[in-house]
Amino acid sequence: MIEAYLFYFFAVTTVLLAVTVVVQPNPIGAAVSLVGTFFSLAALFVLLHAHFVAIMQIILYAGAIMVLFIFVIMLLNLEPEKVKLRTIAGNRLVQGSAALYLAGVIALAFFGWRQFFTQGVVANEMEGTIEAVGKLLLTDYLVPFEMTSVLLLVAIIGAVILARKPVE
Amino acid sequence: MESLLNTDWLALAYNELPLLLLIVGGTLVLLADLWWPQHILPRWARRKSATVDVHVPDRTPLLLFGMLAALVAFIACWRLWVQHEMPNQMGMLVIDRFSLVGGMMIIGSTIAGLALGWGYLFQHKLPIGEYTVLMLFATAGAWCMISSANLLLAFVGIEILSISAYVLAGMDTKNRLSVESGLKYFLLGAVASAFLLFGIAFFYGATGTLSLVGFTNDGIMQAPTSQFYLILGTAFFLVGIGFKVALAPFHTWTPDVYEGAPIPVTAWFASAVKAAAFLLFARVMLVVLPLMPALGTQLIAGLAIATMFIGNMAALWQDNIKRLLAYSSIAHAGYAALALVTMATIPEAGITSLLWYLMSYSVMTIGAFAVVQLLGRDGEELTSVGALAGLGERHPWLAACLSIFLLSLAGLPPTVGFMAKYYLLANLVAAGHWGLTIAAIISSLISVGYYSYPIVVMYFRPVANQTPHNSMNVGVPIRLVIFFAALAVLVAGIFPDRLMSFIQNSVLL
Repeated sequence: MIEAYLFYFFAVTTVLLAVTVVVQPNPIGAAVSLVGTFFSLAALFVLLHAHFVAIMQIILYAGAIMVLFIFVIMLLNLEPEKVKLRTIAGNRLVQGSAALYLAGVIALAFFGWRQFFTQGVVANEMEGTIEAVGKLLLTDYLVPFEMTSVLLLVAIIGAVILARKPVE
Repeated sequence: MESLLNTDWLALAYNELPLLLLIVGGTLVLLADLWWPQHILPRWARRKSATVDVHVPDRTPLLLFGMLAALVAFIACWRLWVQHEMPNQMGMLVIDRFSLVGGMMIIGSTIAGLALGWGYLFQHKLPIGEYTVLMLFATAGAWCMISSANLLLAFVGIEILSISAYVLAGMDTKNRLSVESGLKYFLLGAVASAFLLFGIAFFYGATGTLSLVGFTNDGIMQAPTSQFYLILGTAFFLVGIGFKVALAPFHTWTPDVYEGAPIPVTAWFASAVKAAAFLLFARVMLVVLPLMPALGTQLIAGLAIATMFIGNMAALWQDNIKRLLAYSSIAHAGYAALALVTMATIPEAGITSLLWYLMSYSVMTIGAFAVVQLLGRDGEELTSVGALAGLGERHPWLAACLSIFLLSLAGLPPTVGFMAKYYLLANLVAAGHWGLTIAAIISSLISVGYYSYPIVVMYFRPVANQTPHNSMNVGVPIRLVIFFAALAVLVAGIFPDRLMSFIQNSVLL
């Protein structure tokens, strides 16, 4: 029972913080709210017994990626008024489609609502722990795992090519 | 531990030899590039060019090594094709003749793309080693896309291919257009990847598996919610993959990216990248279409019609030859999508015509881009169609080759383009899609208008007191590419039987 209450608490926190990210005029404030979103998402993963994903969520997203975000924001030194100027002009279409999309997502949530209550989610205790994930990565998912390393190598090469000074 | 030992890793490595060769070749090129000596050739053997500083080490031999690696991979593909009569699945990879033919097609395009870089990259001061590495790795990614039995691996493959493609497009950092095209491709491509991933997530939600083989095994599909999520997943998937192959509402990036990217890269985009995305598209639709034949067919048919007409109509107004060929590539994506439509009723014939179409389109588009590249002056690409004036007199052979490629793209006999369209439309009629067939013929007739424009300019427009220039990009590899492409277009157009039976033998479902 306590799990259900925790779920609702963290789910509501996630959504509220995500909304804050969008409406917050100060970019730093938005970034900090995003960190909070990632933390409460991690808590949701823990509730699903996916400890590994939860830890990765905190280390990678809340840690590494957000530090980079904040670095870039501070380097660019964006003030709230300047940020407002940078939004797309004539964005009725964008706003309309975003609203439509949000409506669709909410409708989907209601669609799946009943199913959620009747069946509930039964997570396998072993699934998502570090041991289970490690085993899977080196057996069933070995090929994608190795190809991901090729992907990272390609990304590094690409970043180096595009960022270095042109050869004179 | 047990499951680790259960897999026969040696057999897997043997069957995935092309993939391993591409990755190992790419890594070796990367290392060789790092340790490349300042002057590998003696002074007298160094390339002599007025525009290029002789002190820059010429790394062109790395291209040769890359081509060699790709060629060995090609031969390995061929060996595997001979050995595998029946599909063979190992883990997440599936080895069947369909993916092997696709692999041969893409590796062939990569060899051509590397050959086109010969000379061009050095003149434009582009990083030769990285060009080779990215092309080889991208081909490995394409291999993962087409021979994957699992959507997870397919997505990793797509990302390898796409990220290499973004970098290759924006590689010429001195050229504003190239940087613009790289950035545009990257931003729009990232959005498309998100859509694709969303679609895959919905597929997972509907079927409970990412494996394309076990897609339909469960009774899950009977539940109405699964049907709903499947439709949603297909819609998202179509948006994502539609971007990658440039289907109509999602095609707007194509002209800018194709125009801005260096020409060898553009030729490779139009052949290898497009073919890989289409083959993955076909593999997924092969499983999804039987679950929702009517709706799926209508969706793809709608996209195909829009793509054919938008591509062909927009091309009529182009004066830049790269943009013209870019719009032509959009239109051809529309024709190839028609082959997917026939897959719902006659899957084997549909796949045969798709492979046939992609193969012939790759050859003719590489040839056309190669001629355009060859006509560029030192350090400047040929862009406007008007600059072709008088080519028929100055370079009769080149003009003849370009005419052959353009006629083939328009689908006129006796070229391979005609044969590909003929099989496609015959299958479309056999599947009972009369309306689509008529639409395809009409849009094909429209396309003759703009394909004949450069030909008319080449032979009939007088040269407007232009300073004649003889300083063409000299290079044997590019001439070889043009020669072989023209030969293939004519031979396969006049005697299609052998190639046709080869492709038909490759499609065993």
